[in-house]
Amino acid sequence: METDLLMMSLCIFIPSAFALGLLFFPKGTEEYMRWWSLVGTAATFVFSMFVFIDYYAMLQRNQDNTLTPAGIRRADASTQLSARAEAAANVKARSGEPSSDDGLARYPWIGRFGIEYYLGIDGISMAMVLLTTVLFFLSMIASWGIEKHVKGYCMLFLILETGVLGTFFALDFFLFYIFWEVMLLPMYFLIGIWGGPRREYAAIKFFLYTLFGSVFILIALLAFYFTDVQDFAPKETVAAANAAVKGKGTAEIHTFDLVLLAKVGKQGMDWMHLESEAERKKFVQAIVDRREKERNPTSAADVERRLEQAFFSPTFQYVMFLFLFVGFAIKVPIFPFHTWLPDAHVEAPTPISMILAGILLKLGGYGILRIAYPICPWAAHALAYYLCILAMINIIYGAFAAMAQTDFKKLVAYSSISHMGYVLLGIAVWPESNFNNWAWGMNGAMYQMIAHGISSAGMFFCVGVIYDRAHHRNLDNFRGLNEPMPLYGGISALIFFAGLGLPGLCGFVGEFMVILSTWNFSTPDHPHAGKVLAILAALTVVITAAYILWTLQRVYLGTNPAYKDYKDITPRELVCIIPLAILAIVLGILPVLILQWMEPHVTGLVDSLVQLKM
Amino acid sequence: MPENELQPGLLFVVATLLPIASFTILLLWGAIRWALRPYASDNATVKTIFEGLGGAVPGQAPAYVATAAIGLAFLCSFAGFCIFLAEVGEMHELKHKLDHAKLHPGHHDDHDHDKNEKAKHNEQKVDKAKDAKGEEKKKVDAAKQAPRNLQGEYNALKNRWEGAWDWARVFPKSTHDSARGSILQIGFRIDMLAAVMFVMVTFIATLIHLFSIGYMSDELQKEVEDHEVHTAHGHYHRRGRFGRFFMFLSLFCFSMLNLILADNLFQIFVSWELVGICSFLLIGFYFERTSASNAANKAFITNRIGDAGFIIGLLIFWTYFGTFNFQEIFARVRAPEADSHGAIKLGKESAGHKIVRGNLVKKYPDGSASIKVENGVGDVAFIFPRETPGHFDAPRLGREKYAYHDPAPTQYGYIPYWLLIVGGLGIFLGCVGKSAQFPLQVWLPDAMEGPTPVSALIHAATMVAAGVYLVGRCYPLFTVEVLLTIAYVGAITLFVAASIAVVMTDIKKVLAYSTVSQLGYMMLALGVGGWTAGLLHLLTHAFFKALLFLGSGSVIYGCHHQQDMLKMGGLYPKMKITALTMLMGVLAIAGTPFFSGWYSKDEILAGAFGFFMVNKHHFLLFLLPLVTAGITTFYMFRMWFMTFTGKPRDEHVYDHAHESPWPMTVPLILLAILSVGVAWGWPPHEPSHSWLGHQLHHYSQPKTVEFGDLVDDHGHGIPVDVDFVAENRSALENHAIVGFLALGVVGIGLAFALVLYYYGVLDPEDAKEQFPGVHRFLMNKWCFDEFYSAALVRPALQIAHWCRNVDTYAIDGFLNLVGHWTVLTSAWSGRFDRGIIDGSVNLLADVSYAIGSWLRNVQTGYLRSYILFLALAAMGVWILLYAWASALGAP
Amino acid sequence: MNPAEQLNLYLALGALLFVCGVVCMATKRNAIGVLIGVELVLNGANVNFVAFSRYNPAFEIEGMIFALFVIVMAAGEAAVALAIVLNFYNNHTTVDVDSAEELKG
Repeated sequence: METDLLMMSLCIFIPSAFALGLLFFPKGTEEYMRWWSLVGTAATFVFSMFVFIDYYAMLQRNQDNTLTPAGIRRADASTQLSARAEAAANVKARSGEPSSDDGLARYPWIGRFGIEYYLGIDGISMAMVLLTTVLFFLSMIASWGIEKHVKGYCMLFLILETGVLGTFFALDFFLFYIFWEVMLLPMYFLIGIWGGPRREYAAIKFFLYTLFGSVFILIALLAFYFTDVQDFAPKETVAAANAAVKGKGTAEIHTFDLVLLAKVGKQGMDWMHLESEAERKKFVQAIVDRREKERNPTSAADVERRLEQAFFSPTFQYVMFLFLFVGFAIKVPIFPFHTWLPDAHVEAPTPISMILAGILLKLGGYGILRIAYPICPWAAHALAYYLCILAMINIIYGAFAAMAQTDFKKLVAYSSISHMGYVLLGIAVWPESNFNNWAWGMNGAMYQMIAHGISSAGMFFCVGVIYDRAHHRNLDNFRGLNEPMPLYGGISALIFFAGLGLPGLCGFVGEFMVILSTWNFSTPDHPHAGKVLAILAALTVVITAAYILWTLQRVYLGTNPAYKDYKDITPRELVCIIPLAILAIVLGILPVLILQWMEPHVTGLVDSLVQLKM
Repeated sequence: MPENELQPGLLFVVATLLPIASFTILLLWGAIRWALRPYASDNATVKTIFEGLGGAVPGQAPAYVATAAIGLAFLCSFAGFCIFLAEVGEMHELKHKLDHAKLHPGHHDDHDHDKNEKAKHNEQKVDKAKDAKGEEKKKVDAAKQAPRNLQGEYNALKNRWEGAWDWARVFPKSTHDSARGSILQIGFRIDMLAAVMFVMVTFIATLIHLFSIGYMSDELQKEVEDHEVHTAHGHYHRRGRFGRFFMFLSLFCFSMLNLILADNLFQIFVSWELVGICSFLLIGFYFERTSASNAANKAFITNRIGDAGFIIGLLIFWTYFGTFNFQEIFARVRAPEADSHGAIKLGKESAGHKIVRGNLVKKYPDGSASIKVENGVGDVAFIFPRETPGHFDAPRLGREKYAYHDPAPTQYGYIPYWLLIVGGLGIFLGCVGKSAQFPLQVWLPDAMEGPTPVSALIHAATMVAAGVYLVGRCYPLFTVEVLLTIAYVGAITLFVAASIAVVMTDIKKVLAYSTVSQLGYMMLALGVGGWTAGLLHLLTHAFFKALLFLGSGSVIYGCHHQQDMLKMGGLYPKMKITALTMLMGVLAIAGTPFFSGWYSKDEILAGAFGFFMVNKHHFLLFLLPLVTAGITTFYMFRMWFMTFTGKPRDEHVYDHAHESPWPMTVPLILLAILSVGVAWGWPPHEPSHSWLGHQLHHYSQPKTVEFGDLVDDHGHGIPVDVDFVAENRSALENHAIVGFLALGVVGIGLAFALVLYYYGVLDPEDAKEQFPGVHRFLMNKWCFDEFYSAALVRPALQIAHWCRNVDTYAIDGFLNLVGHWTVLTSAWSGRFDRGIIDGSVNLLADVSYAIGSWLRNVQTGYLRSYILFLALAAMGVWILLYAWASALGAP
Repeated sequence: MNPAEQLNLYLALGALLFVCGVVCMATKRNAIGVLIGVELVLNGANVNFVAFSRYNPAFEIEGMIFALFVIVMAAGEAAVALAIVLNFYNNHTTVDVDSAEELKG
């Protein structure tokens, strides 16, 4: 039995199994349904920890003993996804049995189209998976207050978790897309049924926006699929395909395999950097020659055909990158695709806001990191300048827009937009030299995603706590909550400071790492781009402080006789918020806890991208 | 040094961690107590725990925890300081030897004898200081026989006082140097400055904790009445928050100590922000008051403006140096003293510890460039190798040198000179924010909304001093241009603040502006090359300003939270200890001879004068501080006279005034003693012979400032620096003249104060009426708030509004328009559907229906008719079949 | 008389019975009368089957079996129909088929 397959699949499908289990609960047992769902999310968390332990053990087994600055050992290059995928293919070819401890699981699913049930884990997805399972667990605790259609709510909630986890685990583009869509529908209903007064509008807006993006992803997915990748696929696959057509020329190979597609994309980038026609010919010839050693001799016509490879054309990369980017940018969200977010957040019930801000936004960043950048690196590099500008607009615009809000939840929603801008900024600062700093940026972006997952979920929860008592969210009508609710006030202050990026709390780490990398960014046309961006980013720190402190002042400070007798935060609410608060502190003080197992693969991504001929 | 031996430097780390431990304890304590509160009435066990944790009424225990923590921290740092004092001499000697050996290879045995003598001497001191040092002695004895490994010894000694831990790391393979710029560390490094600061901060903090136990005793009540907050039902009532106050104080102490402990810019930045947030929390301690929460926000946001500059500085240094560690940055930005040829020379002049500039000749694609070194001019500055390669060639005048834009540890790099300036200015902007310098000084007076001990600790003695401390720390990073900016900012600040302090009537506001003004002095001193003078003033000022603030706190406490000096007067007989100790503080800040302020201020003025003598067009840098020295004396005595002498202005206040209890007066007395004597030296009449100043100067002053082997008549090193040789020499020569000038000015200020406020010969109201415009301008604090409100706050809010409107009207408007159009289009297509497509289908249906309903008549429901139809139909079929058959011709 | 003529006579009898039955069904308002008509129609058909069985050797067995079938079916039909009539009477207190017009289109 392949352990990692079992673990990862269990992790994905346990929530669904529990959702099915909910069907057997009779009416009137709402309390048990909640407990059942809570147990489901807890079990998922436990299994994600098993996956993590496996993954960590794998990193420990494959450590590079040569690279030891300051006496620290780092994970070996053989733990990178691409290396593991190749090794797994070799192992399978040799022994017929898949290896069960490499964090990869790969089985044919729809053979006709080469679609596979292909799951895999590396630092990037592992971090996201852990964040997901933790936040779903905590959001389930926060869901106790939901009274309407509890069974339906819990089922949709659990199915949503399956969708999200599947998206993070999938290494097959098709599988990814399916989970991506699976996630969409529960969210629509969760906002549309359990939301606030304008829930239908918000739900439809959310749905249409995301669907709009999904269409672009679908186009890109198909475009990749219809590209022949036989020059890059493992020789076993090619041999099998050729055997199938029985000598009627060579078979075309189409794939949804993200790891393979990334390899193709990188080769395409290599090729596009070549100067002359002759060099390009030589380059293709080399690919063909390599194949030749493995099977029938190739004709000059084959070389010509490969010169026409879609991946080798800048236009293809541009268009595909933009398609993917738009699809994922809507999720992040990037200006100007962001307006679904304030509405969806405001109308969604508290736990769903937590999920939305804490996890669903990260899917966008994850998609960019996992799909858009590796497959279309050339376009990503060429467009880096514009991506940075978009990110900067996000940061500044979000901060200013947040400042002008009077709805508490909307303010937090806009702060999310601003903070997610740092994620894109960290990813986008592809410099001309000194890639070290880009690695900081990428790691910072990943860290920012985790930190924002914690802080924004916490912020939304804090808003939810007060909304349950005051039944409004108008910032101008609060004041003075600190006196009746000191514990709540203190925890909120902590969470909001984490959002503000106060050192010692999680929000600071990612932001700082991203800003550190920004100064170094430059393009041949804009040698000072990074400096301007970094200065703007540094100045936004002031705006962020201003709107968060102003909010704290308007909500918690001062006096207000109307709220004099409010009950402080309840034990159930404490159970939900305390883990977030602790995470916010621990991740702020010891980023190494996350970085040590996440960094090898994020930096590995940077390495694999910049090792291309620049 | 054996690895398992404890580093004495860890004493300082422990001192730093004690307050955060206290903070954590108090936080959990308070949180659990509050969380149990609602359940205490239902459950006996919970009730027991609740009562055990202090029950409903705030108790004094939190104060004891916090005070014990900071007291212990003081003991730790004091012990650490003593050990450090014992070892620093040897360390310094070794370093000197090392440098000498590098500069003159082959000659390094010359000083050996002398060296050993010194070492012995030091050893004796060590023995006196601590018995545990015996092992060290053995080592030195052993070293006498064996050939000396200077570097090894030095490193061993140095390692006792520094350490670092990784905080975040990234290892890309693509960089040629995997170690470079990949690690953010937190660490500690103790030098004389840090050690002295540690003792100062922990000592003052301990006293202020003690003082607060008395001052904050109101908070011990179950319900506190806040006189400043009015509600519909009279004054506002709230729970007492005694514990919370001490919790915040502990957090602050941790942040501040961590800032001093740091061996890198990053850690300083972290503490910097933490200090800011503590300041936010403590200014907003009475958060029910709108003024307090506004002041807290203002303080933090203003500080963040400075921090934005700080971040920019950090970015520049990170990008070019790849590290935040002070020692590494300094080693990279300033030329080492020696290369493989003995010494680094640019032309005739020695280039040791200089920023070396040159012009780019050509850039190469691999990132390297050839740089021609001219005589101190050029677009780029050299970045020197961190790890000196075996053969190390310094850049020489007029020759080309290869350097890399992105240097490895053993390569030269280069940084555009303007970026070095921008980076320095950025760091300085951070200091401007934190130290409330012009133009970001606006937050400090507002910060007086916090409780008075907070004002004393944070907004006078420590946090605001952090800016000055950082300038002192980063000194080698600053180019001449940056230093000049610092000097001017300091000069402007000290004058502006002093001028405002003259008209303030709130006792704490006067002190606040005097703090701003004194911080300006420190900045000025640093800017004109008086490193020691500036930092010495930082230390002395901390004592007397803490004293003054605590004194004012005692007055305010005695007068039942009356802060307005117009309601005081004649309080001397009522609170003698407070009055006398405050007088000590006033005398110290005025720069009266033999009081601590005199030592530092005199040196500052001398430094400014020296600078002015060399650079005549910068006369303001001397004139402003000189005049302000008089103004300072005037407003400080004005404050003292208005408070303690003359007739009581408000009988009610006077009648209730009383001396404060011992926890408040004891700190006052201790601080008064130190305000007088902290800077003493021998002989006391020579301000430049202050013991503290000497320690700072000798052991901690950066090499940029101190250079060369100039010795004065007494055999002491003269503070002569590379960048400020002539200035400092001139300062030394004119020290006496400046001293007399300053005394004169102080005398004039005192005379004015006596005339106006003590003897009442002239009525200060007359002056007010004579120059109403000036008075209003000063009362409005030079209109900075109004200016910022118009220039920054309102535009920011306006932009925020625009952004929101762009969202609602532009983007959502566009989307809704698209949605609207879609709906419209679908309405039309719906009409088409219904009219034409559905219409035709419906027509068919209608026709069938009509036929059906006509045919329905046949269904009569009568059995007979059905049978008739049946029969008829059968007949009909038969006839048809028959007709068909016959038509076919069948028979 | 040749067999074809004999057969014709039988067929004529069957047709007469059939027509009588149909007329009876069409004219009677009493449900029992209608049932009698149905029996007449069925027996008319039976006469035909039996006649064919006798005069057409190819149809010998089938005719007889069909006749038997018809008799059995008639019995069943009569039972069911009488039950319906009884029920109908219980509901409407009459056996007039004209009053059973609820199924009118």
